[in-house]
Amino acid sequence: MRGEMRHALLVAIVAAIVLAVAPALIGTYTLTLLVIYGMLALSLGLIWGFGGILCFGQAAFFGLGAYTYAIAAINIGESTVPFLLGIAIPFLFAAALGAMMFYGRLSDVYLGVITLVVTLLFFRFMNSTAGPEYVVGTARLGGFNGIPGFQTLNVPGDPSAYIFGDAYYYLTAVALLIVYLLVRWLLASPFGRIAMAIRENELRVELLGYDARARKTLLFSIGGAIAGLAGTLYASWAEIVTPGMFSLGQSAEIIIWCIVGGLGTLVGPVIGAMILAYLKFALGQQSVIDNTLVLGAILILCVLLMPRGVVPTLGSALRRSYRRPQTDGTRRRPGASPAERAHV
Amino acid sequence: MSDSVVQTRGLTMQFGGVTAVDNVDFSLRRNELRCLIGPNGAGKSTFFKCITGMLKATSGEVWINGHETTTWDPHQVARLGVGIKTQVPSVLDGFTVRENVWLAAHRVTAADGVASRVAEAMERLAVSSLANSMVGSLSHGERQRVELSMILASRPWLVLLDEPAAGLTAAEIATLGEIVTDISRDAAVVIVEHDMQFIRSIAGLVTVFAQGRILMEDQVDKVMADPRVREVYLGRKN
Ligand SMILES: Nc1ncnc2c1ncn2[C@@H]1O[C@H](COP(=O)(O)OP(=O)(O)OP(=O)(O)O)[C@@H](O)[C@H]1O
Ligand SMILES: [Mg+2]
Repeated sequence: MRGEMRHALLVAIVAAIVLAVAPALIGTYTLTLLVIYGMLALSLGLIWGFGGILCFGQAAFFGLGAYTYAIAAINIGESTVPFLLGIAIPFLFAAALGAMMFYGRLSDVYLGVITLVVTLLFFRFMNSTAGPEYVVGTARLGGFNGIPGFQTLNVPGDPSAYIFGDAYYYLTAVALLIVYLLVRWLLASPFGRIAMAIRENELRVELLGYDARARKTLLFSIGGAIAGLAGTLYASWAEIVTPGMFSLGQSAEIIIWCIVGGLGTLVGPVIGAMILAYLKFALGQQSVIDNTLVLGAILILCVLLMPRGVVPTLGSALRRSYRRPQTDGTRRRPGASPAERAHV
Repeated sequence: MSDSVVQTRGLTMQFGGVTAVDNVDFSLRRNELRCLIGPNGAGKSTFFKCITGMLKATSGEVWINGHETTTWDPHQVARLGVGIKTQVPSVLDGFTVRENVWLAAHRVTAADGVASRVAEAMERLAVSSLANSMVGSLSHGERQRVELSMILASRPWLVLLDEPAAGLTAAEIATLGEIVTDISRDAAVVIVEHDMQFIRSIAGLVTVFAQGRILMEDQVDKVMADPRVREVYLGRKN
């Protein structure tokens, strides 16, 4: 466990350096969005890659975090409580949804379908709230147009001290690093170990006396909270929240980020999200080729050429070239992916 | 309750029209070693799964150590101190032997005692030398031993084993006999088994299942000599 945390710290330091010099190449406004998407991908990378829970509705928690923040910020003003609510409400919502699914012993397919349907319900509902009767406190939900004009993130306690621009970028970057380290710590703890064991063989773990349903529910909720945090940060960045955050496209993109970046790692989904989101942004600047086409092609190429994802593939290539053959007599199952033990 | 640690009353399990377990009254005393035998499809595994919570009985009751566990889930049954081995070997292939055994020891042991508990359980099943190997890379016999090692590490007072000898070599079966005898020193044990040689070697009382019912219950030699038992086994020699 200590070795793993040292490794995670090293990764965080390298990432911190990269994030610190990145503004020399890309504007901080765009970078902030990439970091937020990285965090969103990390939330799915955690529950899917380590908990084996394929959630098609990670966008629901993202959007819920953003809407919670926006609504609370309009009602409260000062941003600290709205910020915390933006994490807490998605956590609680994921806990309720997760409990329903896991205690109901739904199979993986139904789990995927239900999370997808929940996302679509949010999308449809938020789109239908244009009328003046849809208000929460003083906040109008605004239907298709979403909610603009709320207090963005401020220095805690001082509503007039907005955090924006470069400072906001560094704030989100630090938040991403902290979340990464916390999740690494969680995975190295007994809770994380048991979660991975459940992914591998749920019955065996239950027969040892662990309550798999409760543990999956908690892991799912933690993923929801992280996605909610990403949504909260997004709201302050965009200064508007719209139903599009709940869209099918958004949900699909998160899954694609994870597949391309590499499941079974945390860094993989983050890098996958950042690269693909940047590509989408760059391609959006031109009109020669349609960007969904390019992203689709990248996904297909990745699945065919690097089925484990970019980061695990590069990781094992690096290990092969730098490490002497193993001499400790450790036997590995042929084909068994050691990706889940890459500790990145 | 009497002094029995496992008791079923009228236990029945139906799958559609098939009655796999039919009105079974079963009782096991503390520290008893019991074998369940019977031809294929007799309902042994189904009976076993009803006790462990993997299946919920259609009717009847299951009692374990004074608790009515009929509707309990496997993790609740396990938490009573019951070690369970299913017919299909169930281990974590992507984890090392030590990690597998750790999983079992962690739930029942304070943090500072886990390492020694794990080492001891691996030692007793002679898998210490494989501690850092991926379980998926091991032979069938080694994996069976890893699973038994996990059960030992959880310090159960009741151990339920479904066909632990299946697929083992003669030498491995002999070792298994010693292990089972060893386990039964401080736990009640129920073993579902086909291998008659093995059953003889561990002695104990034998319960014979046939068509979902208990056909008879007696010492192993009496059971083997019984014409009814010979009849249900007719056509397949063990
Ligand atoms: N999940 C199920 N659905 C339908 N039928 C089942 C199911 N499980 C078992 N059965 C049926 O119940 C009967 C008893 O099966 P069971 O596996 O309990 O037998 P067994 O005594 O363990 O046999 P074996 O020695 O082959 O392991 C069989 O007829 C089997 O086909
Ligand atoms: Mg069976």
